[in-house]
Amino acid sequence: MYKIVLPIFEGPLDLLLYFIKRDEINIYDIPIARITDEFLNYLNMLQELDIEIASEFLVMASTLMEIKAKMLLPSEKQPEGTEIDDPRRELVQQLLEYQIYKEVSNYLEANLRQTHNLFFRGIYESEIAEISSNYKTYKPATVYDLAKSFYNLITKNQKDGFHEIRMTEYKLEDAISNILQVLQFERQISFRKLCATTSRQILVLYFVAILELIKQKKLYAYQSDYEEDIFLFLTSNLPRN
Amino acid sequence: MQKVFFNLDRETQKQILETLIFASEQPITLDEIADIIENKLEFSDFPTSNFSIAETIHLGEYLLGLIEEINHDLESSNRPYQIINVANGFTFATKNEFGKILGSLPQFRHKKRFSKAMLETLAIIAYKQPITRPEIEEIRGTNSSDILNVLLERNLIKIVGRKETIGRPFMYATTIEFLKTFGLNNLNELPNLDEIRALVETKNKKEELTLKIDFGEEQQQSSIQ
Repeated sequence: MYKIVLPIFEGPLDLLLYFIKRDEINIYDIPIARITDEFLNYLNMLQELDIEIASEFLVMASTLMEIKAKMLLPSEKQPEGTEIDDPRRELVQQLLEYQIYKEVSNYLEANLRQTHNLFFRGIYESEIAEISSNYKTYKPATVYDLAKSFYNLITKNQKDGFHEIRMTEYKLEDAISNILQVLQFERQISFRKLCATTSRQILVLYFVAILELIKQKKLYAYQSDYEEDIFLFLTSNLPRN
Repeated sequence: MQKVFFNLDRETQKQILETLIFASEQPITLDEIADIIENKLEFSDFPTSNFSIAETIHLGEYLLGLIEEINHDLESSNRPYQIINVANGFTFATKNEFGKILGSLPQFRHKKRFSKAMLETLAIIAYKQPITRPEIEEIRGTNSSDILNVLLERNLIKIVGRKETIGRPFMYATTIEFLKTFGLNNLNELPNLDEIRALVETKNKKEELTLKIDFGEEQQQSSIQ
């Protein structure tokens, strides 16, 4: 039995900083050949373990090799007094910049320990929790989510038999005002419930009405998870921020 | 109107203040409170006191004094919460030992969990806002779209517009929720970036220094041999 422990790196810069720290490398004078080897060895190891390598690691590998190549080439003659442009300069700048934000994230982490047991009086989350009943989180539903939901409904409501076209008195305006009316009394409407009992024609009307209201920014659609029901909220009922 | 508020007895003043803080969804600022009690409220229903306060007193300071007293009252009646100053305003928050109880519930535990990537990304947005995804990714050197979605979902960042460059990418900024989560009053309370830069450089130099010392020792040893 093998147990492989891999440190988690947030990206190629993080990995480079790890090498620099581990081997006590001077960041202002990086031995580029050595660190390129380290970097490539690491990627090879990932490959052997059959772990997919993110493209940014490959980009970094090529950057490192480019720098290495440049450093091997004899530099062009520079006019007197001007400094030779170090091919590593840009990379070092990037590493230093990244180090700064890593340091800030340490500060944020320390703050989190302070506020760990701090909970604020809040309205928003408890109301959302009410709808979801357990610990689901809601995310904004896209037009595609709506379309998919609609498709499921329309295929479910399909009946066999003769096809007959009848004029309906029901208009798009009616569907819109109906939705808005319900939302005067209810905080949210379930998309499935809204379309559960109506005929196919009215279903289409409701769907167009919802799209129209979303376009007018009067409605918001939320969904807890892929293929879950979609809830519609009035924009004015949503918390600010 | 301000005079009218000042004419109320102190207990009533505290109750009104507590009501405003209680009803506010986000931390309410002293300015907001002052505006409400100066311009928006009628106090005719409340008993006034004969005790009058010097008109020269500064309203903000006076309100702070009241908040302090409310906290003292809460403390002496063993309430498990306090009014705290966060995100430039005032809001109710649990006391440490009782917050712990909530922290053990899954929906709250989830809220307090942060990955390294989330903190890094938040740090960048906090200083560079408004900032686009490509700009964040340039600093982090790695794809950040999933992290941004998580941060948006947790309400720690928001989209504040689009940048008028190629692709018109969204621009992100931190929210009040961010300040609340990290116990900050405003973004200026974050450490100064130049100081952090200096700190990072000293750390780097120190490593360089130990390197030289090691090297020096090696040389010495070899010379002894």
